[in-house]
Amino acid sequence: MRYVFWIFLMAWAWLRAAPTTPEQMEAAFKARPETDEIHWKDATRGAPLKVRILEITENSVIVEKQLPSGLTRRTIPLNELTDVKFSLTPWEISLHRETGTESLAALRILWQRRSAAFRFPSSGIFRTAIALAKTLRWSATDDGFDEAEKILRVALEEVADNSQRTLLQGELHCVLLSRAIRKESHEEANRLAWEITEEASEASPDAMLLATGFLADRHFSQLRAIEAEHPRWMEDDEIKPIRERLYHLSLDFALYPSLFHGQREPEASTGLKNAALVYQFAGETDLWKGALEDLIQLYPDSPAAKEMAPVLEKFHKSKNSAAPPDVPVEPTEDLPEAEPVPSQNPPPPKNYNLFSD
Amino acid sequence: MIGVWVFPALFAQPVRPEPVLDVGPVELLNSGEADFNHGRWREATTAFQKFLTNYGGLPDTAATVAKVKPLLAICQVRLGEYDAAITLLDESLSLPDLKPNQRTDLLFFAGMAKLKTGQAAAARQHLGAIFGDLKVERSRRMEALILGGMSYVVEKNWIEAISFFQKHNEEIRAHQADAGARADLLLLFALMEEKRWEDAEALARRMGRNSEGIRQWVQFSSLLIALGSHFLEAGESHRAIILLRQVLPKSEILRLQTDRLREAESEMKFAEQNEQIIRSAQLQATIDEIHRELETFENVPQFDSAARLRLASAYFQQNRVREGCLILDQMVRQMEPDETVESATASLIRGWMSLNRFIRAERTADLYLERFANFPQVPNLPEVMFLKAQALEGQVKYQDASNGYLEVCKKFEHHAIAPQARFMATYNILQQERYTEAEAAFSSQMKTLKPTDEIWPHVAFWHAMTYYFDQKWEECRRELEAYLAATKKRGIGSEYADNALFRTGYTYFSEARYPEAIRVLTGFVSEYPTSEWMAEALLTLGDCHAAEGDLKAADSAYQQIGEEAPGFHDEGWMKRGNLRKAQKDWAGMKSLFTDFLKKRPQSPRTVEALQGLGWVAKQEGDVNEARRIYWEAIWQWGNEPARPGLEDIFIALRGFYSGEDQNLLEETMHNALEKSRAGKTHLLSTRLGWALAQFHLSDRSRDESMEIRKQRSREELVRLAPEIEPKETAPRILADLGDALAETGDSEKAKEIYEGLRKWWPRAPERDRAFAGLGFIAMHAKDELKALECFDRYEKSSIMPKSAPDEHGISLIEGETGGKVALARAELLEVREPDRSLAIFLAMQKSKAMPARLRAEAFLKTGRHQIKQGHTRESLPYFEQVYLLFNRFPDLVAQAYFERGEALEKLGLTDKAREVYSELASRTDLVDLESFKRSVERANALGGVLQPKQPEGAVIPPQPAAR
Repeated sequence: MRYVFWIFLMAWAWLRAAPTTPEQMEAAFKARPETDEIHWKDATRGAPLKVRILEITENSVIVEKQLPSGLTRRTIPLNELTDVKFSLTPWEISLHRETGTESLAALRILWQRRSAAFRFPSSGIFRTAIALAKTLRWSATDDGFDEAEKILRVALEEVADNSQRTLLQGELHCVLLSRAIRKESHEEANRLAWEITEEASEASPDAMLLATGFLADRHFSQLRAIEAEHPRWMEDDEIKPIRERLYHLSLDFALYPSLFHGQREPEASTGLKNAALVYQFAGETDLWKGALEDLIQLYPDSPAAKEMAPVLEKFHKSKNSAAPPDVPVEPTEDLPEAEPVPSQNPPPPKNYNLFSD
Repeated sequence: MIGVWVFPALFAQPVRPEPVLDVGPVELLNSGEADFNHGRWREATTAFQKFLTNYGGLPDTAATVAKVKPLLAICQVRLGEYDAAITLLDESLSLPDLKPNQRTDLLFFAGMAKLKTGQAAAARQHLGAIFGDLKVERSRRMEALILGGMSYVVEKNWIEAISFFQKHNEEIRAHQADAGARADLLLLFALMEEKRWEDAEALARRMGRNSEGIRQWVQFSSLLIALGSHFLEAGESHRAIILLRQVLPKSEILRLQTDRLREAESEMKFAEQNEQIIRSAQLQATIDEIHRELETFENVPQFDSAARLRLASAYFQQNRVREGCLILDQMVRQMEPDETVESATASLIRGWMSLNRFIRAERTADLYLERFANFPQVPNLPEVMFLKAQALEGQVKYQDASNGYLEVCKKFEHHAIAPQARFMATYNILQQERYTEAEAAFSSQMKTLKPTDEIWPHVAFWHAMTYYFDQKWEECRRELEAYLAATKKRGIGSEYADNALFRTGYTYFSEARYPEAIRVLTGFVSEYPTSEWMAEALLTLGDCHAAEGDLKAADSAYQQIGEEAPGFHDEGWMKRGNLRKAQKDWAGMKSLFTDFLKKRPQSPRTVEALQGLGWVAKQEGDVNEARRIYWEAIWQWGNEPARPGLEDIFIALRGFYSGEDQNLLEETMHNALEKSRAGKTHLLSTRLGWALAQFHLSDRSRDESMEIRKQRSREELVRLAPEIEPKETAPRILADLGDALAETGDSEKAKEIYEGLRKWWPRAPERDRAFAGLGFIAMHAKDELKALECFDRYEKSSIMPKSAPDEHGISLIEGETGGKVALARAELLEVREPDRSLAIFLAMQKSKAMPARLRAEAFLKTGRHQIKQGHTRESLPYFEQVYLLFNRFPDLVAQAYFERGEALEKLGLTDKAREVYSELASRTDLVDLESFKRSVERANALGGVLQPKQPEGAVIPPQPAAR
């Protein structure tokens, strides 16, 4: 019996320093353990075979296996197989979890070598599609968005499993919305964002957070625009309901991340800060203070909390005074330009929508 | 529940008996080792056991047996056969010459087996021998550490467990994230068991922030809920929120947990491939544990509701109603209906109501009714139905609200809420001014109530008020007196007592029964000195005294009206002035109004005070004094920002310049305007300029036509445009200026002014003119949709009377602007909605409230509309009506003649057409008009102008009005 602990230590070292360049990836592919599986269509060929899969092409899979005769490489036609399963190494798991742009090259290589595996439902290749699309989305370039969309649409055409489709659809939503926001196609972004909120898929928190963040900003921007356009909105029976709707939706959208994805600190804390700003803008002093307290209590280490802490401090200092502290209404730089205020509500939701009246 | 998840069996693999081949010792050993290396524990066990049974007693196999026994023991541990394994492991550990790594493995598995069989202290000894030995390879030490700490947990020795994990967890985490997370979970559990809440909270927050290593999400989430619940019960909402917000939805936990399971399985394969036996064993344990957790978790009912309800409660506890409602809103829709959801949905409706989000409250109530209609236990149903009715009332849907309340009392006749619902049902009928129905309903409810019932005072008072609104004074008094008598007698439900007494007095006043009114209102004044109705009561009392001729008492009553009710206060002051006027007390009148101007300069009644002073001056024959008073007021207040009544001062000035003095007024105004402009008093200049334009419009002293006067007025107004700041300018000035600019073709500036009026004066009656003006501008710019939108807003905001809808549902705003808008709308709809367009033209023709010229235009445009629709024959009577009925509008008459002639030609009736053209050609009063010339041309083309016969439809055409 052999105790080969150094192999484990080597694998651990891989995990710590996952390959990112094509050269490193090539080496990494060759060093992968023989834990992938291929399943024969012809049952007489035996049990699933554990191999190292190097690449899957449109028609075949290239595998390696250490045999008594030495390391053997074979090209097996895909029509001889019923299933292919990848057993991800720790560095591959890490690569799928992280979405830093430094992972892009490695994920691309994974995708290129494995994307033909879509025909095998157990291959898990949809995860690679999502990880790559997400990384491309974070790169925030026009080409990146286009490539991500293409990958996801290919995946959606191939994948039949509903839960996998939901995840792919969620990422596709993120890609499309991010691109629309980047291109300042406000109406397109608005349509996509509402579409996402209608589906309200908990399996795609990224999409919901992106959509609610966009819609919070948009509605707050429109709220400011309508108040600028109608300074006496409270006396205006026609405008008041529109203004009220914008006010409520600004808050509902801003609060969504902290209420439903509270562990996503950047989005949740920014949302709470935005809610505080809406309250400040609306002159709702107690609620303004309350939102600031929530922000600083719930996300004390967030940049938003640090930014807003002096405002709450002013509140505490002026607690004996009935008037709110003298803090200018802030955000204009982060928000899109004021758009025309809608005279009508968006189309009625197809499904239940948390944000629709 | 938590215990189940925290203490699963470490290993549990099903035992599957396998046949053993009858082979020799070498084959058995090779086969056993191969099975061992591939994790085929059962097969390996069988082979090793067979070897020991068949060959173990032979003298030359002792060394081999010593090597086989540890392997067999490990197989037994992996198979969950701990007792058998322990014996072999203890035996193996006593063997000499064990290699350090072999010894470590045996210690580890012995510790594991003993821990599993409840021998925690013995297990700790074995594991301690590993983790206490710094020479042992690190990953083995870390696994031993976790199991070592777990031994305290198994013993429920929380203090030692905490101490142990606090000492070692950092090292474990640094070694491997998932191992660290496992150790942290055990520490968290121990801290909670030991009620060290702050430490537990700090750990849970840290774990939440660094959740990458967590593989047991089910366990972690369950601990978070338990910890959050503790803080919630302790009233520490923020701490509860911090923890509960980390709890993911069940579906997300399942997804994450399945992902982690897959990762662990991949890693285990990797470990097995590389013969990392301890790591593989531990991963197997984790995988088994996750499988069991998943199985248990999938069967946990209401996990999401438990978490969300607690989170919502924490927000409600913090008075964050919106946040609590949003959480509940999502929760109640995602969950299967049960008692918790029933109660939560009712709370949600209350929450939305408290935020005045009536639509959402109504929608949630509908959801409740849909989901719980056939539910066995619906304790909140009556209240939910009541709240739904309230939500409808909040949306001003009074009839729906009334129906909703009625449904509550029908469905829950004997419920405590039924009387209140019945009252509210009727109250909403009253809101619709359906007095007879409301009276009958209140009367019917009164018969079912005793004065001691809680709802009785409300029903009794509003029953009386129904008569009051219906001006049935006698019945109203009877009910009010009954109500007052009951409250006095029983001392209950007196919240309406002051109102009831005042209304009683007012009923007498309304019937001109002044002595009774004086008696009641005097009683009211002394009985309810702080009543909100005091000001109105004093004014009514003053009026009663005045009507009875007791002017002194009237003056006293008016004088008592406090400034806190400024409208009534100023009204009383004016009436006091009128009392002095009636008494011909000019000095008193003068003093009173002068005093008013000093004390109430911002009042909208200042112009009346000035008029009073002017009137006195006139009476005293001193017109100059009257003029001086007005001009002084103009110079004093004329530059102030807009407020009601200010422009009236400028307009009223004309009353003091009659006849030839009109020229003096014009000159004085011009001079004032120049002076004001020089002094840069912009607002005063605007008002003076506007007043001058108004003066020019109505100045008939120069014998100028209306069109010329309008032209002069427009020019005066347009000159004001550059200086106008809509925020500070009165809406009537803005509306006049906008119209003037539009009429002179400056659409852009007109639009700006109209927009300013709309923006800054949303409650001004002139706002409808802005919408109309914007509509006409859009129409001229061919922006039809915008024009229609503006006309809709005009009709919505106009305060002018509106006709009842006709058989086509057409309802017209009366007056000139309303008529112009209707005609414009009909023209805009000619293509897209020709039937509606025609219906509007027809309604315009019939409307007596419309100016005659607009009705004439409606006839003319109806004729044109018919031609456009290809109905040439149908157009004829409409053209004819114009010159038969509206002869005073020559331009329209000429067009109607000509276009009728054209229609007849189109129909091939050339003789008839020639007659019509000739008839127009005989109208010398229309000779200058284009249609006249074209008619002559057409008549000549058809054979020449015929000599005038009897003009069609009239014996002698009336003379046209002066143009």
